[in-house]
Amino acid sequence: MTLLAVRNLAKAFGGNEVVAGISFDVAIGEIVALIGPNGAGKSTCFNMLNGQIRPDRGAILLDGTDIAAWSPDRICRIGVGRGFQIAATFGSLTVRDNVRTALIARHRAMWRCFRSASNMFTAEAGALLDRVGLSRVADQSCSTLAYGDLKRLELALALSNQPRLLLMDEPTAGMTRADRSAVMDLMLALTRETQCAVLFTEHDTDAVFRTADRVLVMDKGTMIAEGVPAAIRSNPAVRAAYLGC
Amino acid sequence: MSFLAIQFLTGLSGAVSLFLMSAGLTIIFGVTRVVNFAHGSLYMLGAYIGWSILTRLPHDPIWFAGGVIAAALATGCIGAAIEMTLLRRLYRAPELFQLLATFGVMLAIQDLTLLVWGPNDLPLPRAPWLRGSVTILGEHFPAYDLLLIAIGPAVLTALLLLLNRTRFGMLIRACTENRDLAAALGINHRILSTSVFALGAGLAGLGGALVLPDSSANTQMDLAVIVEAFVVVVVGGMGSVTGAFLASLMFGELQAFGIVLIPGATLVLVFIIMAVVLSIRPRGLLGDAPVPSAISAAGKPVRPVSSRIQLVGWSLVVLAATAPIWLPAYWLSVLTEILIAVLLAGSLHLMMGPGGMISFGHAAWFGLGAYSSALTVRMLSAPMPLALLAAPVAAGLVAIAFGWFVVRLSGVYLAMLTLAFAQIVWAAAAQWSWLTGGDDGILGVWPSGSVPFFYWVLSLSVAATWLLQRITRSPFGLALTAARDSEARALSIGLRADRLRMAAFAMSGAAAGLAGGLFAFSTGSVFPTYVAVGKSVDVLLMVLLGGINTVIGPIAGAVAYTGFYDLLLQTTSMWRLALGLTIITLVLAFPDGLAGGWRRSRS
Amino acid sequence: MLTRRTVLGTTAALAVPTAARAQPAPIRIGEINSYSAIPSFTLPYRNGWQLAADQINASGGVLGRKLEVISRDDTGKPQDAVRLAGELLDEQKVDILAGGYLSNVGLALSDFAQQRKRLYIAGEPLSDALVWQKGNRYCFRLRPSTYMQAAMLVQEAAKLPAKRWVTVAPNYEYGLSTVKWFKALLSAKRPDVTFVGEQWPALGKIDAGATVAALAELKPDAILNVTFGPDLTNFVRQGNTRGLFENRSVVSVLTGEPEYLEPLGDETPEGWIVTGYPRAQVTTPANTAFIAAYKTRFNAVPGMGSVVGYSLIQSIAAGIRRAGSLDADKLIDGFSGATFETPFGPASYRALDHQGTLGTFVGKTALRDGKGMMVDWHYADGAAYLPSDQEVLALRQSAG
Repeated sequence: MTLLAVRNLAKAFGGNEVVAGISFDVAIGEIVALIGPNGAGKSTCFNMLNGQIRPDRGAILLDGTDIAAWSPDRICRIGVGRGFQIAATFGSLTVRDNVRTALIARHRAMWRCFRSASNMFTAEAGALLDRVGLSRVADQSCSTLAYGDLKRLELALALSNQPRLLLMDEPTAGMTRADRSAVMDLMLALTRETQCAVLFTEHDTDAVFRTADRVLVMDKGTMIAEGVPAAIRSNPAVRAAYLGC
Repeated sequence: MSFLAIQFLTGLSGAVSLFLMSAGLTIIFGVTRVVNFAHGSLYMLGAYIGWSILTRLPHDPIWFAGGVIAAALATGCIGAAIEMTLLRRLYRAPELFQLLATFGVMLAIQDLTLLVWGPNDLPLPRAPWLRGSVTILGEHFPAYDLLLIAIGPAVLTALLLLLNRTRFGMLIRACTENRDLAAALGINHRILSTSVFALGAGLAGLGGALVLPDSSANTQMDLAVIVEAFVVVVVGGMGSVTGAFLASLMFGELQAFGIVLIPGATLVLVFIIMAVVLSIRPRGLLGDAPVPSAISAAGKPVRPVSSRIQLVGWSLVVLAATAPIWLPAYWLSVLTEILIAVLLAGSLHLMMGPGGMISFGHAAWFGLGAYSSALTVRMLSAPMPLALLAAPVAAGLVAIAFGWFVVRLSGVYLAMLTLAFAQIVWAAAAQWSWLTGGDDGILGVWPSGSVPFFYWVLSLSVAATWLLQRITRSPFGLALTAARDSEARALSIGLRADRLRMAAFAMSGAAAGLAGGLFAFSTGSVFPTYVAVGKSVDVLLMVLLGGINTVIGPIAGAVAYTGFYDLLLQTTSMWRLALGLTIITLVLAFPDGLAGGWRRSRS
Repeated sequence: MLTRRTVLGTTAALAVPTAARAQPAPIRIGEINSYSAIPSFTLPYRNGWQLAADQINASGGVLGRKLEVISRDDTGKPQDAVRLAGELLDEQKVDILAGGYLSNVGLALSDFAQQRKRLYIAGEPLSDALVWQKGNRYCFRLRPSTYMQAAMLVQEAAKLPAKRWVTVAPNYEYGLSTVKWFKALLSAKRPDVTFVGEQWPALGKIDAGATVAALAELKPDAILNVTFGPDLTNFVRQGNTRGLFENRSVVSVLTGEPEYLEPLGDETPEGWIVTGYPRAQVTTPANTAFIAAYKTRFNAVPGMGSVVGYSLIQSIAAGIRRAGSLDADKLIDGFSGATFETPFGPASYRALDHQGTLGTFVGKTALRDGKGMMVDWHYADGAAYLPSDQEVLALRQSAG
C-alpha cells in the first residue's frame, strides 16, 4: 500500500532546474534508496519532502494528503522523521535532553513554561537511548560525542516521533566502516519493528544493494531508473551515469 | 534645481567621515569578529591628536595633509596596542565578551582624554584655504567639502586594492570568509588581527582628524558617532567595505534631504532606514555570506543551579526581607535598584541565553514598562498595583508585535534591529510631549511609602526572576535552547523555532517592562533616558559580565555592576576610568564571566 | 526646633567648650551636576562654587557655621541624580540640595525635593517648567529661564526690519521651548513677521552643511539660533563658508557666553544679537573683584559656568541667613525674597514663583584681534523679562 506518492516534483535555483519533475512511490514499511552522482538533485529532493525547501511545482502525497509547501514542523507532526547529511543535534544539551526535547515536541508539551523539564519523559527517553545504544553516554553533553554516536542520536531524534516515514540523507556519511554497518543495521532493525518506511540516500553502493528493497536512481534532476537492487545493478543507464561522472 | 545639486554634494561630503569610521569597524569585525565599542573613542582620539599636531604645524595644505596622516598613524598605533594588550587574550572567549572589553576601553579613554586635553572644545583654527568656497550653480559650496567628497572614493579604492591585490588583503578576505579554514591554511592570526585592528583604528583616526576643519575636538564625539557607524556597517552588510561605502552614501543623502522634508525626524531617521533595509534584506545591502551568530550557539549548556547555590540565594532573599530594619534608607534604595537590575538582567538572559537572540535595545521594554506605569498613574489616576500590572502587559504586547518580524533575523542583525526599535521608542518618548512630557519626562510617580514599596520590589523582582529561571528549565526553555542550537533539527522534530523565539521575546519584554514599572516608582519619575542606548548597554554589560552560560551569572552581573557603579559615583569623579579599568581587569581575569570564573576557581 | 544634631552639639559643647564653640558642625550643601557629561560647563562651574564657599567660610560662614559642599556627578541621567540626591540626604545628611545642568535632571531633583520636603536650588537648568508648570514650593531656580532668555532677545529682534524668520535649535526640550517662546513673543510684538521654516538637528550630531543649505534655501531675512557647543562651531563654520549669514540678521541664545563664544575664535560672525557674558568688559566692582579672586585661586579666567556656580552658593548663603534656621519651611520663607550678591550685581528669588531675578547680558558679537567678543551690550535684569504675576500664577496652578 502506498504511503508516499511524489508526482512531478520540480525545483529550480536561478533558472537552473535542479529537480526536473520527478515521480515515485514509497509503500508502507518499504526501504527505498535514492542514489545518483553528486549534483543529481538528491538533497534538494529530500529538502522538499521535508519542507525545508518549497517546491516550484508538483505534489507530495502522504497517505493521500498533499504536503508540498508545508512547513517542516507540520510535516514532522504528520509522521515524517528526518536525518541530516551532517548530523544536526542540539549541541549544548546532554544526550538525554536531546531526546527529551524531541519527546516534548512529540507530546506537544513545549508551551509548558512553569514546570521543570528535568523529570519529563525520562523513561521514554531512556528506552529510546537504549534502543540506539547510547545509554552509556546519556548524561554527556552531545558536543563531546564521537561522530558515530552523533548519528545514532540523530536516529533516536528522528524516531522519537514514531514516524511512518523516515528520510535519511546519507545516514553513514563520515563514519568508519565498522560504524557504518552498525548504524545501517540499527536503522533497519528499528524500522522493521515499527513498520516505518525509509527513504535514504547513500554513496556506499554496497550498503544500498544490501539493505534497500527498491532503488531509485537520479541524474541531472530526473529519475533515470527504478527497480529492485539486482535490476539496478545491471541497468546500463545507471552504469553510464555513474561512470560518466 | 541648484539647491538639489548643492544638497546632493553636501550629502556626499557628510558621508565621508561616516564611511571612514564604518570601513574600519567592518574590517575589524570581519577578521576578528570583535564588535568594537571603542571605535568612537579612536575617532575622538584621532581628532584630539590631530588638533595637537595641526595647531603646531604651518597652515598650508601639504602640512595639513601630513598632520592628518600622522594623526591617523598615531591612532593606528593606539589601536594596535589595544589589540595586543587586551583583545588578543580574549579571542577564545565567547564572542560578545570582547564587546565588554572594548566598552571598558571606551570608558577609560573618556576620562583619559579629559585629563590630557581638558574639558574645553578644541577647535582647529581654519587656514584661509580651508575656509574658501567654490561657486556651483550660483551657490557657495565649501572647497574643503569637495576635497572630502574626493577622499571617500579614494580611500575606498585604496582599501579595495589592498584587499584584492595584496597578500595581506587576501589573508583578510580569507579570514573574513572562513576563519577556521584560514587557520587551517596556517595563517598567523595574531599578526593579522593586530594589523587589521591597527588599520581599522587608523581609518577611524583619519576620520576624526578630517572633521577638524568643520568642527572641534570635543569630549562628546565618541558617543555621537559610534551608534551611527554600527548602523552603517550593518546596513552595508557586516564585513563588506563596499557595502559600508554604499550605506554611508545612502545615509549622507537621506540625511541631507530628509532634514529638508521632515526637519523633526533627525533623531530617528537613520534607525527607520535601517529597520526598513533589514526588513527587506536581512543581511544588509551587500552582506551575502551568513554571519555566524555572535553567540556561539553550539557552546555550553545553560547550567542548572546547584541546590547549594539555591539555598544561598533564598537565604539572601530572606536577609533582604529584613533589610528595612537594619539597612539605612539610602542603601535600601540601592538595594531596590539592584533588585530591579536583577530582574532586568534576568529578562535579557532569557532572550540571549536560551533564546540565542542578542539585544542591543533591551531598554525599549524597560522604558515602555516605565512609561506605561507612569501614564497609568497620571492619566487614569490608577493605584500603584494596577500601574505595575500595566507595565509588563504593555511591554509584552509590544514585544509580541515587534518579535513577530524580528525573529526571522539572527545574530548581530537581529541585535541591531532591536537597537533601531529602542531608538524609535526613545525618539517617541522625547518628542511626543503631549503624551510623554518630552525630555522633561513625567514627574510625581511616587509610591505611598518607601518600606511597603521595597516589599513590592522585593517580592515582584524575586518572583519574576524565579519564574524566569523556572521558564529556562521548563519544557519551553528546553525547546527554546534546542531551536537556538539547531534550527533545522528543531523544525524536523516538530518545533516552530520562530514561535518559540517570539514567545521568549514577549516574556523577556514583559519581564523587562515590569522592571521598568518598578523603576518608575523607585525614582518617582520617567524620562527618555530610560530608553537611551546607554541603558541598553548597561543591561547587556550585566549579562555579559556575569556570564551567559549560567542562570546565576546575570544575577551576579547585575548585583556587581549596579552596586559597583553606584559606589564609584559617590566616591570618585574619575568613575569612568575606574569602571573601565575594572571591567577590563575582570574580563581578563574571568573570560567566561563572574559566575564561570567563580566555578572555575572552585574546581 | 531641637534636632538630634543640636542635642549632640550641645552635649559636645559642655564637654569641650572651646573646641566645640570654635568648630560647630558645618552646614552641608549637597550639590549634583553633570560633571562627566558636560565637562566644558561644569568644571568652571565647580571652580565657581568652590570660590564662593571659600569666601563665605573665610568671612565667618553662615549662622556661625561653615558651609560644606558635597558634590556628585549625575552622569547626565536624571535617575542617577535622584539616587545620589537620596545618598546626599540620607547618608551625608545635607541640609539643602543644589545644582543641575540638564532640564530633566533639574525637574527630577525638584520633584524628589518635594517628595522629601527639602529645598532644592537649581543653578543652570533653564526649563520654564521648573518654576511654572511643574513648579513646587521646595524648588528655587537661579538663572534666567528659556522664557526670559527669549524675551530678552525678542526685545532686540523686534527692532529688526526682518520679516521672514527661520529657526535652528537642538532637538530636545531646551531647543523646543526656546523656539516656542521666541515665536510667541516676537509674533505678539510684530504681527507682520512669519516663521518660514525650522531645523532640528540632533544634539551633538548636527549635519551642519545640510542644515545651513536647507536654511539658506528658505531665503529668510533673519535666523534664530539655539545651537551651542560643538554644534554651534560646526554650524558657524559651514554658515560662514556658505555665506548663510551675509546680509541676514541672526539672533542667538547663549552664544555670548565665553564657553561657547571662545571656540568660534577668528570665525566669530559679527553682528549677531546674543545673550552672554562679556567677562572682562563688565567693570562693575562686583565683577572685577570676582574675576580677580577667581584668577588668584585657579589661575584661569572664569566662564559663565563659574558665575553660575559662584552665584548659586552666594544665593544659598543669603537664603539661609535670612531664614536663620535649617528647617525646610523656614528656609522656604527665607529664600523667598532673599537678595544676594552675584558678579552681575544683586539679584533675588521671587516669592511668587521662586524664580531668580539674575539677568544676563544682551549685546552683539564682534571680532577683535582674532577673537570673538560682545559689543553694544547691556545688562538685562531678569526681573524685567517675566510675564505678569497673574500669568505666572495661572501657570503654576495649572500644575495642581
